[in-house]
Amino acid sequence: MAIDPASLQEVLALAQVCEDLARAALKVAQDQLRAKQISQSEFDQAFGDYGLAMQKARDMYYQASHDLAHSVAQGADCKALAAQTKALGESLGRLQKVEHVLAISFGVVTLVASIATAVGAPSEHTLAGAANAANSLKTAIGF
Amino acid sequence: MMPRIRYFTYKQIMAKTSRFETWRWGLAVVVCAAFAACAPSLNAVKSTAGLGTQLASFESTFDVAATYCRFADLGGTPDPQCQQLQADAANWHAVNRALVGYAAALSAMADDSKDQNQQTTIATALGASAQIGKAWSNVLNANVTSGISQGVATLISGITGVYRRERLAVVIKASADAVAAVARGIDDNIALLDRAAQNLTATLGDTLTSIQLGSAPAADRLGLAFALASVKIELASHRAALASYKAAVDAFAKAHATLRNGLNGLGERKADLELSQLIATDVVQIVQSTQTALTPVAVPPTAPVAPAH
Repeated sequence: MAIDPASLQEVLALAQVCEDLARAALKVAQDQLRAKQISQSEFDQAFGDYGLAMQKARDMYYQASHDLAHSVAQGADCKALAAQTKALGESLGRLQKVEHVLAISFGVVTLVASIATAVGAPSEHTLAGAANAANSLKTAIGF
Repeated sequence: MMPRIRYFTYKQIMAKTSRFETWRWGLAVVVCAAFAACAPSLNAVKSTAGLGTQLASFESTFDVAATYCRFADLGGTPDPQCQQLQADAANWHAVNRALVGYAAALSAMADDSKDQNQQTTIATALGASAQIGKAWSNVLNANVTSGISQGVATLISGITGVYRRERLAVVIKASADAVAAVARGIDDNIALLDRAAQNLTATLGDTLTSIQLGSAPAADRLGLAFALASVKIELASHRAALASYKAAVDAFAKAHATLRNGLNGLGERKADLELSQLIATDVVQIVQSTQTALTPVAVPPTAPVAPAH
C-alpha cells in the first residue's frame, strides 16, 4: 500500500517550505556575520537553529518513510504477492513431478490402448476398461 | 431373442481408430492453439521475471538512510527517527524479497526447457504392450505405434504448456494490483529518502560556507571541507542508487502490467473451467464415441408367420 499521492505531495511541500525558511534565515545570519553586524556566538546560535530546522524537515521525510515501511510490509498487497508466489511454487512442484507427467502419459497410452482393444474385441469388459482408463486419465490430469 | 452384434472388419477398426485419434490430436492442438493465442507468452513472462529478479541487487539500498540520518547526531542533537529507520530496513528487505521471490516463481513456471519428451517412453510402452496378445499385435503395427506415441507426446507437451500458461495467467492477473501497489510504495519511499538526501546535501553545502566565514584555524577549515566533500560524494552515490532502484522497480511493474493487460479472459474462473472442460471432454467423448460405435444393435422382433392354409 503506497501513500496517498496528495499526502505525499503535502509532506514533500511542507518539508520544502521548512528547508527554504531555514536556509533563508541562515543566509541572513551569514550576511550579518560577514558585515560584522552579529558576533560569532550569535551566528553559532543561528547556525544551530538552522541545523535543527533542517533536521525537522528531514524528520518529516523519515516519519513518512517509517509509516510507509510498516504499511507496505504489513499490508495486504505484500501478503497477496507472497500467497501468489507460494501458489505458483506449488503448481510448479506439481508440474515437475515426473510421476505426474508419467501418469498423464501412461493414462493416455492406456486409454488409447483400451479403446483399440475394445474396438478389436468388443465386450462389456473391454468397454469398461476403456471407460476406466478415461477416468484414470482425468484423475491424473487433475480435473 | 439374441441382440445382433455389429462386427467390424480390420480395415473398419483401423479407420475408426485412426479417425478417433485424428480427431483427438486435432482437438488437442486446437485447444492448445486457442489458449496460446491469448495466454501469456512464456518468453514475455521470462523477460518480465528477469526484470523482477534484478531487484535482488537493490535489497540494501535503503539501509544507508539510517547512517545518513545519524549525521545530525554529530552536531549534538540525536535524531530519534534514526532508530526507526534502522528498524525499517528489515521491512524494506522483506518487501523487496516479496517482489524478487514472485519474479523468481514466474521465471521458474515460464521455463519449459527441462520438460521431458515422453515420446520414446510411450513408444517403448506401446511396443511392450504389443507383445501381450494377438489383439494388440494386430492393431499396433509399427506405424500406429509411432503415430500414437508422437501424438501422445504432443498432447502431453500441450497439456504441460497449457498448464504453465494457465497458471501464469491466473497468478499474473491475481497479482497485478499487488505488484503495482508494492512498486508504488517503493517509489514513494525512494522519493522521500531522496529528498532527505537532498536536504543533507544542502546542509553540508551550507555548513561549508558557514565554516569559511568563521574564525576557525585554516587547517580545521580545510579538514572539515574535505570531510564534507567526501560525504557529499557518498550522498550523490546514494541518490544515484535510489534512482537506479526506481528505474528497476518501474520497469518491472510496467512489464508486469503489460503482461496482465494481454490476458484476455484467461485467469478468470469461468475461462479456467472452460479450458478444463475442453480437455476433459476430449477424453470422455472418445470413449463415448467408441461405446456408441460398439453398442449392440437390437434386432426388432419379427411378427409370427401365419400358417399357410
